[in-house]
Amino acid sequence: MAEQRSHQAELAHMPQGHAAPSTRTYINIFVVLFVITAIEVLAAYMTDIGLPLWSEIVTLILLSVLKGVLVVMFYMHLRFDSRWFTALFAAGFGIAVFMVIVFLLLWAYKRSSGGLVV
Amino acid sequence: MATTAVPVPHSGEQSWWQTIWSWVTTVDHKKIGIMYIITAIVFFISGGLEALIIRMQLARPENNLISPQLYNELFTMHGTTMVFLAVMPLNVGLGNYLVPLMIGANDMAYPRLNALSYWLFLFGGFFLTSSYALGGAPDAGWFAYAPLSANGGVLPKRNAMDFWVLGINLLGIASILGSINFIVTVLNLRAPGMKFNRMPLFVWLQLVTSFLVVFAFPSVTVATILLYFDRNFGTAFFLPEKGGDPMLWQHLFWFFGHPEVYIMILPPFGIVSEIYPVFSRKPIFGYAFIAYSGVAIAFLGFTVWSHHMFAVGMGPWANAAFSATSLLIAVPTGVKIFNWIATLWGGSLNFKTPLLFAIGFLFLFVIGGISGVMLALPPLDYQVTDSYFVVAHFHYVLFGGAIFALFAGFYYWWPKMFGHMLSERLGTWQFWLMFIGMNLTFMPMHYLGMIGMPRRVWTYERGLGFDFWNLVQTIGAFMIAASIAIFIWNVIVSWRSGEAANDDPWDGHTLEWGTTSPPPAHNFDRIPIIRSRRPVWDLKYGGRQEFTEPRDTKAAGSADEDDTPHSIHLPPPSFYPIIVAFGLTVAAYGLLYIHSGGVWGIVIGLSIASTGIAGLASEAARD
Amino acid sequence: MAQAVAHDHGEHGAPGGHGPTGHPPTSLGLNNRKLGLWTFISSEALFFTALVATYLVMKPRNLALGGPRPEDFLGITLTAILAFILLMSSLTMVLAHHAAEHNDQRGIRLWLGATILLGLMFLGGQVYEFNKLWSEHFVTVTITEPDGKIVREGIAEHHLDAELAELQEHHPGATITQSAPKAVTWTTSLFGSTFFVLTGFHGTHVAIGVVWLTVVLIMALRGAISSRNSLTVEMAGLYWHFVDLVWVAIFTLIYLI
Repeated sequence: MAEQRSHQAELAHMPQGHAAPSTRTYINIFVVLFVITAIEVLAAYMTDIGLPLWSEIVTLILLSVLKGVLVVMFYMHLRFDSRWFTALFAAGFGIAVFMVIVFLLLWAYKRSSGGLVV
Repeated sequence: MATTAVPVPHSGEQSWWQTIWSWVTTVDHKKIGIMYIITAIVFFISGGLEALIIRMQLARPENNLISPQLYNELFTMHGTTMVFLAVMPLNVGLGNYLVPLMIGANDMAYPRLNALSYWLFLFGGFFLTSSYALGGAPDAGWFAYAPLSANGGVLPKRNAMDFWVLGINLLGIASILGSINFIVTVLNLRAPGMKFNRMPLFVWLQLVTSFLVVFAFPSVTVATILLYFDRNFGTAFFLPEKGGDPMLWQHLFWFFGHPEVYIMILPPFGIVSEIYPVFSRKPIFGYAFIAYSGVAIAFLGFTVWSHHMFAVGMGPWANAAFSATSLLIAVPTGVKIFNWIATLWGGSLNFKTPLLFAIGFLFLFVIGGISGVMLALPPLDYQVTDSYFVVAHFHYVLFGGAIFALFAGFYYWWPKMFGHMLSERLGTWQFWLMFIGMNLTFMPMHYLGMIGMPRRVWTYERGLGFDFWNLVQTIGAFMIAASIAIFIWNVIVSWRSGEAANDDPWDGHTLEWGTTSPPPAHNFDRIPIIRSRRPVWDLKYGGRQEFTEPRDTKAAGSADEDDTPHSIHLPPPSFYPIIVAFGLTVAAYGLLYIHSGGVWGIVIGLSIASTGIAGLASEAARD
Repeated sequence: MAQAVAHDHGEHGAPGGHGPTGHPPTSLGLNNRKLGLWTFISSEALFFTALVATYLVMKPRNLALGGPRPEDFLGITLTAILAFILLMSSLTMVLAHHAAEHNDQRGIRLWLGATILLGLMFLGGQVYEFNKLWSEHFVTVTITEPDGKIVREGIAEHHLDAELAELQEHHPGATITQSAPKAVTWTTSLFGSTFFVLTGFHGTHVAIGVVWLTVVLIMALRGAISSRNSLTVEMAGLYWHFVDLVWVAIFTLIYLI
């Protein structure tokens, strides 16, 4: 409830009632997304110039998380909308990330003990 | 929109088909809740009959009553029916009936979606059960381990497991839609003053359960879709001989399957959390602990799934990690149990049937919980995995736990739902018969499991030490069946000549006791302003009589337009939910016969469903 | 939709909480439908997660079994274009929503139309990609070392000759046998199975989004969309952006890594 109230207080500071960003902002976000995508495509060749695989994976995941955050915050309006929506999405996303990580760990562990493949 | 004509049943004027029509098109959460409960009880009885046949087969060694194949089908369908068609929908049914009443709402957030969930559940159950008539029921167990399930069940070239796959998906859609509905209802439709920390614990736990459904079901949806592709389109996700990985099935299934356990048990926790304080005539002890430990159980519930797989060879580190998280989950569960005991402690106990069942729940659930902690230890699990010890454990939790709590709930809320009391005398008989029968059936399973009787085996040899206790178990199973028969008799007696119930027969404190028995279509004429966790006690004993403003009758045109006292907007009845559910079920039959012209079934089914969805959308646009 | 008797009381109702159709405020001051959609999106996230996890854990297994190497078949150029198309469609989508909020009728139609067109372009690109993959082939090469150790590799047919020579060089004395060329379909390898199911379900979601947006566009052409019910556009938009979001993940995890 307190969160809700502070959210309304926050809204009150926004210029418009709805507090949605302008067309300008949307286009700027798009440009940023475009640039990140271009960097991602370049980053996919990191191993080809001799950089280690982990650095490529980390770079790509960080860049895609950044893209996702921008889409969710601006295009899906979570930055300007109720925190409840953020909480709902974050709960699902948190469980999702947990699931992927544990699956990868389980299979990597199996592989390291030579048991799983084939 | 102005007021809609809510068809108020005029007794005596309705022909039988009008009555049926009013139920088929209803969007009233109370009617839908009752339909859920009745349907689920029918499935509960069918699952029970399956169990009785299993017990008859096992009554003596080297028995030949039924074939091994039928035995496989029966235990698979018994598990599937009890999980998806009995316990879950009984929880959903009670939740449907009670959640809007308890939070002071007129209906669920999406009444038509609510009806859709019910029809999908009914048709999904019908779809699964129709497998008996259409070539044989699923036979690879309720968790359908691949590659057995991917190859076509025990007997190849049957589509029995496709029934299971598609049925689970129909029921899964119903569950996800229903849970979204519960979440929005609880978050958004609370009466003034009904803050989160004033909500009844039943509502809390239904909310938590709904989140579990929303987050856990997608995993089994994916697993079953992949299984369907393996079975019908030649992929090899789970088929080791073609490179697939059966472990993947187990992980995807149990990522759903373990939260599913909490989906079944958390609403019963909510039921007993309502019953203990009312029947000990004192407030619940540790309200916040019960609510938040429910949330903790939900989160931890997503971290323990592999404890179902200790024996498949994940390796010591994986087993140790999942063992640790599984032991951890005993903490919030224990917190709840101590709170319930503390609620009863020192209360002036009113030993009516609901409390009998709720206390029975407490005893039996603790036994199931303790054997659960034992099973969370890999060394012990290695010894007893796939033995009757496991069967004993989950029947103490789900029968001793969930079913006892659900009967407590039936006896508690029956007068509210139907305006008649259930007989205390019959209720007491039912309780003792069920309690004794339950322990006779499942307690010896601990011992049999320990001495090595495997589960899911059609028969056993004479002289292994299994004979006597198996006979005892079969006798216990028939005692349970007799207790259920007493319940049905009790219902019939109550229906015919039951003592009329007043609005508040138990001196309850949650909002549903503040309206009539049964409640009107719009639930409440007026709602007290909620100032505590016990609004109806406040009204009765608190001396404050504050209500929200009644609706303005004049605003909605002529007052004789409908029979509701105020112009409360209720959505009109709708025929579209059953159409959508019907279309999706036709499509499921199409998918079942995909290689013999089923494509047409899919096309026709999806067309019907789309028409229904378009109808729903246009109705939604109108209100 | 239903509302509780009580919701016109002030304690909870946020002043801005009135739905677009004039419903009374809700307990959280949030629109019921939007709250439901976000819950649904959360659930859908788990659906795609299960598919992505399946792809990722099957990938090493696929390689060890001599399945095709994804990088031999998944062209980054085409996917980058597809990613660009979907990002672009997210922009047009949000502009359509913006136009709806400002009651800009021309803008609503223009941007909705553009979003649908981009969605169709994406689907066309995916059909092209599937078709192309389906007609390509890979060969499973089995290398048996003199000490009996067996290694398998899946090699794209168009690389076969060059790779075979290289393999001979790296494994002196080993016996190398090769399978008949197999098409890259969803039944010939774990890569095919997991890839086609994952991207196929994403494509299905895009298609559903296109249908949804088309319905909204028809409403807009009839003049039934305005700032009063901009939620209709916003809902379709949330779903659309979510589908784009899934592609952001697929693009990175499946195509680039």
